[in-house]
Amino acid sequence: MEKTPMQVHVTYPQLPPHSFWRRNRRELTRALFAFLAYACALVNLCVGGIPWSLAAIGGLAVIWIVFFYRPLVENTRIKKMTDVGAAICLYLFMLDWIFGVNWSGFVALIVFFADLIIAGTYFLAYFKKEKRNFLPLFELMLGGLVAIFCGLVGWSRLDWPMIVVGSVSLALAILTVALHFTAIRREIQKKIHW
Amino acid sequence: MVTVHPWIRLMQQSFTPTEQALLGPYLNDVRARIDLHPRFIDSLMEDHVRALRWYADHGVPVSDGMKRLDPAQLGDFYLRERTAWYPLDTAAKIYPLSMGLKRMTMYRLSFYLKYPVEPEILQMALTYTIRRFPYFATTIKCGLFWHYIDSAMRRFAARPETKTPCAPICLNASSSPTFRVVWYQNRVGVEFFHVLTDGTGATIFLRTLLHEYLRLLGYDTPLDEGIFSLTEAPDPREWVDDFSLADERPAQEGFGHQSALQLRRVLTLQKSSRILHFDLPLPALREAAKERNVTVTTLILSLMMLALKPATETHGGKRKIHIQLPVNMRKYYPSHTLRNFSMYCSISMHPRQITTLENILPEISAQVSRGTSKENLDGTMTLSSKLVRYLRFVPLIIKRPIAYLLYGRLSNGVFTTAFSNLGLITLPEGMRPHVEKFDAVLGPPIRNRLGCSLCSYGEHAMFTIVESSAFPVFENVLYDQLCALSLTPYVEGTA
Repeated sequence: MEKTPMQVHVTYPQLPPHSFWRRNRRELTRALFAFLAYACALVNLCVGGIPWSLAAIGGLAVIWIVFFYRPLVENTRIKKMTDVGAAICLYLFMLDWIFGVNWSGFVALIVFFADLIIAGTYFLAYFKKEKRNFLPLFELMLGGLVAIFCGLVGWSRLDWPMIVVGSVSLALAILTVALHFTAIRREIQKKIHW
Repeated sequence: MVTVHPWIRLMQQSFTPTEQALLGPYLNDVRARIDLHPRFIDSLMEDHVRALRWYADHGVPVSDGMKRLDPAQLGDFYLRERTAWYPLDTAAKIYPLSMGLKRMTMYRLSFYLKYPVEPEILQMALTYTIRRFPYFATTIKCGLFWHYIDSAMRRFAARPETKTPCAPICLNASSSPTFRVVWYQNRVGVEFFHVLTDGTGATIFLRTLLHEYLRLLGYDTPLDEGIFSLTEAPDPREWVDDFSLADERPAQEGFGHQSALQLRRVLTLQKSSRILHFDLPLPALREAAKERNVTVTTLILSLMMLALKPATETHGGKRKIHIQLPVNMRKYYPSHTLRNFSMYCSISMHPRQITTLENILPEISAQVSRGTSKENLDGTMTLSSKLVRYLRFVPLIIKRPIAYLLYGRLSNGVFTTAFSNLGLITLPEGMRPHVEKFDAVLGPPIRNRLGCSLCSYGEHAMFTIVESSAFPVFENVLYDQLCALSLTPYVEGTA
């Protein structure tokens, strides 16, 4: 039998041509950040001294989270605020650990409660729109309550920023429940299901 | 200053003052049934105006058009806040955990009309159809332990096709939909993120959409099995996770099969790089299978094995060619669910065993019967349910990166390709003259270079190949094999 060559009839639209750089811009940016991080680590290893490369890598991570990171699910304003706040706090703790300046416990907590106040105010102000996106704020509040608990039982230092963190977390929790009990109960059921 | 809504401007531009006077109360009625974000209100109102204009342009009187687009069909779907939410079913839990920027478990089901699609009418058909499927009118959200789907208050749009089929869907906005409807020439495709439903649910949705589309065009046909009435309330059994129905049975083998041979050549950066539809004559295909005393699935699997042999990595070692074969569990359990309710088995052969079609058919046939047996599938379902149970208290923040890293290795690494046979799609007699064929497209796999599916309707069996590598050996060999069986396909696809 004579073989007929396969002939493909095009039934799909021509895709708009995008350059390699445009199609892969996210991956390329990520690769650039990874390259810079590895380069810092390598130079630091070669020249020795204090691990300053960790501070540089942490800085890169914070820049990434602030400007480039977009979660695949729930890329909301509350999520952005809490992610940025958490990243800065962790970065401050890391700087403290690297350079031994011993102020992170104080400054990071101030950043923490400032973040809580901003995200919490936004959440309560736009409750109808944001009620389904409250998980990151809930996690932040939980973190604040755990922190004050640790301070109260003597597992960590109890200073005024810690007290403010605990108080703001508690106040936010109480306010949310008092103002929007039914809605928030339903949202908690959704968020904490297994 | 008074702002004129874009839909009012559109109405003023599209209709004469006399017609506008007729349309005013109608559009007010429609407007009274929509309470969404202003952007969606404007879009939905414009959809109505455009559809009415389409009717007027096609000789349908405005009063008839308004009757077909009766605002009562909107119900309170776009008016009242829907608070329903749905935990993911057992099979769906892995999909959001393992998704990435460019990897998402999508699939597409399409119908081809015998004439070009009318986008204005398709949009209205979707607006009405989605109301019957509230669990599809959802968006994905993060919980502390698992993702879930939450009702999304928005307009669901039918758009012209501008992306590669099954391209990842943007899910990160507050009410991002988890499916998309696209049209091109005479084809309408619905692309689902697998968290929503499996092939059965997608088929029902597509047929219901098609029925509504034809009704709006004036071809009202009685409903048939597998087409939902839009006036009925959704049945709660439609969104139940029926994995709990499975009889508990120990799995014969876990998820971690031996790693499989993969196709040669590197993966292309652009996924998927090529899509091919082999339009086969269904009666001849059935006859060819019957002559050999096997099913169509077995025959196609055997042909795939023959085509995979020269296309896979250099032979040697113990690694085999493994084809993942999804199985619809509804044939074993009385399920009404439209959520995922399918399992899979593996059909495998070492390249040395693959000789001629007649030689491999008995072995493939035996493996298909064994693999698709209820006992075997119950075992895999039990294992899935157990895994979900064990992981339920692990926070999402920990599960996600682990699942992301492991999924490609465990799901795709142990298979060379997948073959999904959706079976025969039927339509009521009144709808048949308008529809040419259906096809199914699997989303591009993560590590595999290939995914295949089969979907039959009328005289057409559409075998679809999705490729992620620029290495055309598989399709060329398969084409030759089909020609040798006198099943010469008409080939369509991407350029």
